[in-house]
Amino acid sequence: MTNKGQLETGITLMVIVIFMVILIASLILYFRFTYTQIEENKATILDQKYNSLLSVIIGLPEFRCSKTGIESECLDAAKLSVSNEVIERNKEHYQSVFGEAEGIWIEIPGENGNDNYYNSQIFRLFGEKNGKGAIYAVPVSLFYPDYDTYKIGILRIRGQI
Amino acid sequence: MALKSNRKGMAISLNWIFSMIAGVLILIFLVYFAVQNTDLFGSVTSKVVSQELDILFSGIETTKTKTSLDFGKNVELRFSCNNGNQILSVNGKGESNLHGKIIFAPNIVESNTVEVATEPWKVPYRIANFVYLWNEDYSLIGSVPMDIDLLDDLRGNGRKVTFKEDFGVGCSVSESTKTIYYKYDRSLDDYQGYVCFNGNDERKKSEFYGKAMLIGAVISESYENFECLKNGMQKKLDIMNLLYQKKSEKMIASSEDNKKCRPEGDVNYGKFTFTKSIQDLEFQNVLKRKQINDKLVTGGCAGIY
Repeated sequence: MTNKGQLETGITLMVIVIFMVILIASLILYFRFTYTQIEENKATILDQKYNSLLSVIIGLPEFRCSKTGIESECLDAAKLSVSNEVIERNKEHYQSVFGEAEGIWIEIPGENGNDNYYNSQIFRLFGEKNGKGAIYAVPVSLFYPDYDTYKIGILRIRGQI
Repeated sequence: MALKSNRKGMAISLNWIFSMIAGVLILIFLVYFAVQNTDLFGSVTSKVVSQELDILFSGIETTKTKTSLDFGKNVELRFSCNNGNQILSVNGKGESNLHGKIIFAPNIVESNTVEVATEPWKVPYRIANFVYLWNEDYSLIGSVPMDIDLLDDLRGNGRKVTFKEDFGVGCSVSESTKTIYYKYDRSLDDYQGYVCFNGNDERKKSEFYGKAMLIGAVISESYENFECLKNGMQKKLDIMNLLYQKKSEKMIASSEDNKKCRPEGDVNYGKFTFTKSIQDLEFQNVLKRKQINDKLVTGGCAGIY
């Protein structure tokens, strides 16, 4: 091979190498963009899920209150006080119902939190209260069937986005 | 360009061959990338749609409702059931678990619009709301119950479903169609009975309790699917039984309830018994629970449900 021939082969190789570098750089950029979009989609869906979960929990027969056998727009505090045990015993089922939520609890503002459920400051339903993640909350009406009284509570969900 | 005897000619030919091989490889790579990318976006879209449907089902699951879903284009929804867990896939991709929901639907729903409705399942306390999803009518013949609104929505000229009052004859219809045998109880305003999925084949007979299961029996395509969903219902029944048992124990121990709870007769929280299996659900035990709860409530007690 002459020097000129070697030079031309070298130029061709260089063009291909530069082309490949640009191609790979473009693909990396493209995939990063696509990955960001998919992550954003995931965040949007999780956001929708947690918001939807708040209304799902309020409507679940496990927590819903009733007066004279007819369901009302409130949560039954007696059910809430025992639900943690029921949920623990059926963890797998509730893990799939609550999805990615890491903690679900109801706070009752202004209570001192002693042993009696009527004065309880918090009803833990699922997972842990403390941890990382966004908190979604909605006010709920709590009904204490044996006391025949209502209180205001705040249903909170903590979930990673 | 052909191979020549001089050395310069050899160099030009090698360059061309090298460039062509490199070009073909790059082209193959780009075509492969394009195909994979299109496939990826199809999968992502299907996953997003199935997740959004899951959210939608969650939203409507807790209320009694009826609505139409318009996808804007033809969509294929596939429902499969494994040990009470339902899986939904959209256009053959993006499988998602429907998280303990009870959804009655044909195995494959292919349409641009589908009808969705819900109905509570009570025994007599609510266990869950069932979701119904369909895109075709059913030809309902025989003694069709008149007071179930959803049956009117399902009525049309499609697949034949026969209704008969249950006189304890078993699967007696010889035609290979679905037949629903039922009894009605006025005081509970509810139905119980069994479904014969394949004419007089007793092996394809499945019991049901409640309006919600009766409607589900119309839509369910097969005995296997109906039985599989019953596993999911059994799980929910177990959970609700346990919850109400714990609640009644709490009420027994409640000093506040003891102050005012004076039910008539020998009724008390301990008399409230739970039916453990779906197979054993019947008017008699459901009515007994309702009567005990009513007496507790009228006697100033908290009431179990």
